Amino acid sequence: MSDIRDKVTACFRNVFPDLRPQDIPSAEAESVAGWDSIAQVTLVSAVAEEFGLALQPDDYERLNSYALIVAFVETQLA
Amino acid sequence: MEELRSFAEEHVADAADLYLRSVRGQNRPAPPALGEYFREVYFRNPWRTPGVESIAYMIDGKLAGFLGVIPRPWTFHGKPILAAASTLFMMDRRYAAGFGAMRILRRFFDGPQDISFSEGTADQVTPVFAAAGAKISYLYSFNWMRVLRPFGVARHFMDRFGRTAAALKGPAGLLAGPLDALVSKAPLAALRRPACSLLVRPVSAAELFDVMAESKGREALRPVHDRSAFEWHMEQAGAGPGHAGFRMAVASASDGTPAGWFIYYARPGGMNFVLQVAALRKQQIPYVLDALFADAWTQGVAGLKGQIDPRHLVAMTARHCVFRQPDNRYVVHARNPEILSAFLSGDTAVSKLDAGGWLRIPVEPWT
Repeated sequence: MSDIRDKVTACFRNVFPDLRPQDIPSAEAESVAGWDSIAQVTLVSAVAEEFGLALQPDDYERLNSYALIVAFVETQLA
Repeated sequence: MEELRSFAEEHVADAADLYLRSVRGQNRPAPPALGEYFREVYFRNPWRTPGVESIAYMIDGKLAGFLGVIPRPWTFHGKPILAAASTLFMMDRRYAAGFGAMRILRRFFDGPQDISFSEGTADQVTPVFAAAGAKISYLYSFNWMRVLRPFGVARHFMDRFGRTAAALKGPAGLLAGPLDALVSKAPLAALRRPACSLLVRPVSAAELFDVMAESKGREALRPVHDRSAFEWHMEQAGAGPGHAGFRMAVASASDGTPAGWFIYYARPGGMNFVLQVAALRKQQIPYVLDALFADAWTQGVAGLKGQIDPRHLVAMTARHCVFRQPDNRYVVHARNPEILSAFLSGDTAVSKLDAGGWLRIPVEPWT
């Protein structure tokens, strides 16, 4: 499980380089500056690529926090 | 509070301001002429269709995003369908947070139209279109270029090579003409004045419409034209100083039988866009291309460029065209997989006329 979190955290660091590491676990779209549609698509696509997951159009908008993304990955890989 | 609404007259002034601010980086009120142009294109175009309107993205009652949509009647294997072109997409950076862009595009693709498309989506934004369900048409994302006067083309691009080069652009004009005249005598076909076996004559929109109606094209996806809509379309494509040199011409055999036509901008000395070049029968496209290049040469054009048409690739390659992919993409969405497949495989008669290539918005100074 920590491997999933580590990889998702790495994706966040790539998309939001200014986000402090300690803020990543609680990061969500409404609280992170610059988390717009482009950042959202870039982040979710990076996660999908990292874990080899297929995404539906609904996923791009729904997965708008670190917690939701980790939960999504865990469900998909279970 | 976020809200997606159909674009209405009350939003026009804000949309015009948003264009200058978000696209041109100019923080000033838009002139009335720009607002009036928004009205003409988005509320008075001849293809207006209820349910297929431009989209306004509002945050707390203020316009924060806009997608300009123009519907068009098309056919798919002869059956009527509805197409919708996305022509202008802008978001207010002051509202950078939130997923407004994605929501706008999902609403656009969820509309009643059978096929939606957008040309020239910037590389950075293309993933958002894809996330909303669009597919990238790599085929139509290419442009072609035909250099007619190489020194004229080089001078045209001098602005991109720093301030010194830009400053020398004026004086370079004194040299470009004579140098191009000299190289046109060289024994290299690519540099010589293009030869042409057809007769070219400029025509009115009504005359061109009659010629187009004789086309025997059998592509799966074809735009539909009616006379009055086409005349409005050509009037718009040729309006304003930014569209100087607009030219519609028919290429015919010596007995007067039309072979094809082309619609383009023929400003002397510069690179000019071709909106459409087509033949009545596919075997005639090489000769119509020759006619286009010869006509452009006669008009003093330095070079031509246009959107790829896969039907013309072989003939264009043989006629010294080069192909490049700019840093933007052509994207398409359709719920019917057969329609989508036809577009992605290039089985269409789509041209720059069918998306936003004729709009004045990007080419006028709007002062």
